[in-house]
Amino acid sequence: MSEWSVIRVEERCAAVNMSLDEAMLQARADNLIPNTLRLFTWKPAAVSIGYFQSLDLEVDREALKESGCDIVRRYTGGGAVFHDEELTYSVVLSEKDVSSDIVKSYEEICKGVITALRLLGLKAEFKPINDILVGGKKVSGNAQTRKHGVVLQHGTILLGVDVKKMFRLLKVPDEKIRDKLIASVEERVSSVNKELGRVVSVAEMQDALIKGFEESFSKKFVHRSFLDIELTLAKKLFEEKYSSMEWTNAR
Amino acid sequence: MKHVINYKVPDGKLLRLLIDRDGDVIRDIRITGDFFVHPETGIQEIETLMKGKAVDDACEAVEKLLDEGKIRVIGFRAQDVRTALGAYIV
Repeated sequence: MSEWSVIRVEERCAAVNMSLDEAMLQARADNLIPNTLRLFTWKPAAVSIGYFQSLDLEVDREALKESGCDIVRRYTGGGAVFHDEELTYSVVLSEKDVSSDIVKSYEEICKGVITALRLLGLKAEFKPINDILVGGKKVSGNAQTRKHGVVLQHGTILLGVDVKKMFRLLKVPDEKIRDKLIASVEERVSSVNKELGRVVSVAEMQDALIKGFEESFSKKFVHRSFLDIELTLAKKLFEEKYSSMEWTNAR
Repeated sequence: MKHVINYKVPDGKLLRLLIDRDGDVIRDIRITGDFFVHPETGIQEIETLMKGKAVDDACEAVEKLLDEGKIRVIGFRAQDVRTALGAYIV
C-alpha cells in the first residue's frame, strides 16, 4: 500500500484513545490499513503513564479522583503526561518505512512534527531520546512501540501548558522539593502558543501536522475514517485492557 | 516491596526501583520508570532473572541478557541498575 492515510481530529476519553492506537497497530500488522496518521484530543483531560511506570509512584490517586481527570496506562514506555491543552498524534508505519535504530526512527517521525512547527513559524529541534524543543524548551514528548513489523509512535504537541495544574495530579519523589521541581519544569517546558505569542487552534495545528508529515515523508496522506474492524478491535481493547484496573495498576 | 530507589541515569531516564532485599540477595524487584524496553515484556524477563540472586550476580546476568540483543533497552544500561542498587545501603 503506497498511499498513506490520515484520520482527522476526534475528541475521546483516555482509554478509548489508547484502544484506538493499539487497534490501528494491529490492523496495520494484519495489512488491513495503510500507514496511518491519527490526530486526537482528550476529554476529559487525562494523565497517561508509561508502560513501565508505577502508578502509585507517579500519580496522586486522590487528587486525580477529585479533579475528574482520566488515567490510562499506555502501551508505550516513557513518562507521565498530563493531556490537557494539546493536540496528540499517533502514527502506525511498517517497520520498513523507518530506521531499525529506534532513536533514529524517533527522529525520522518527529521530523513531521518539527516541519509542522516550522510551517507555523517556529524553529524546533529533535532532542534524543524522544523530545522536541523550541528555544531549548520541550513542547513535544513522544513514545513508540514496535510489534509484528509495525511501529506505533504517539506524541503530544503542547498548545498551552499549566505545570502547576499538572503537578497537582502527580507525585514527586521528594515532597520537600515540590516547589523547586515545579519551577524547574516550568523553565524546561513551553508550548506552541507561548512560543508563537498567539493562540493556535487545534484545527490550525492539525493542518500544519498533516502538511508536516506529508513533507517529511514525501507522501500524500489521504483522509479516511476508522474501518469497522479497527473500531471492533478498539472496543475489545477498551473493555479488556485499557479501562480495566488490572492493566492500569499493572505496575 | 520494602524500598524505593530513585536513580537518574546520566543522559538517560529516571530509574525507580521497587525492591525487597534480604541482605545482599534480591527477594523481589520491580524496575519502573520512564524508559523504554523493546519488546516491553522484556522487563519481566529482566526482573525474573534478578530475583533470588545477590546484587552483583543479578546485574551480571542482566548485562549478559542485554548483550544478546534480543531485548533492547533505551534510557538505562545494566550497569545503571547496579549503580542504583549500590547507592542503597541496607
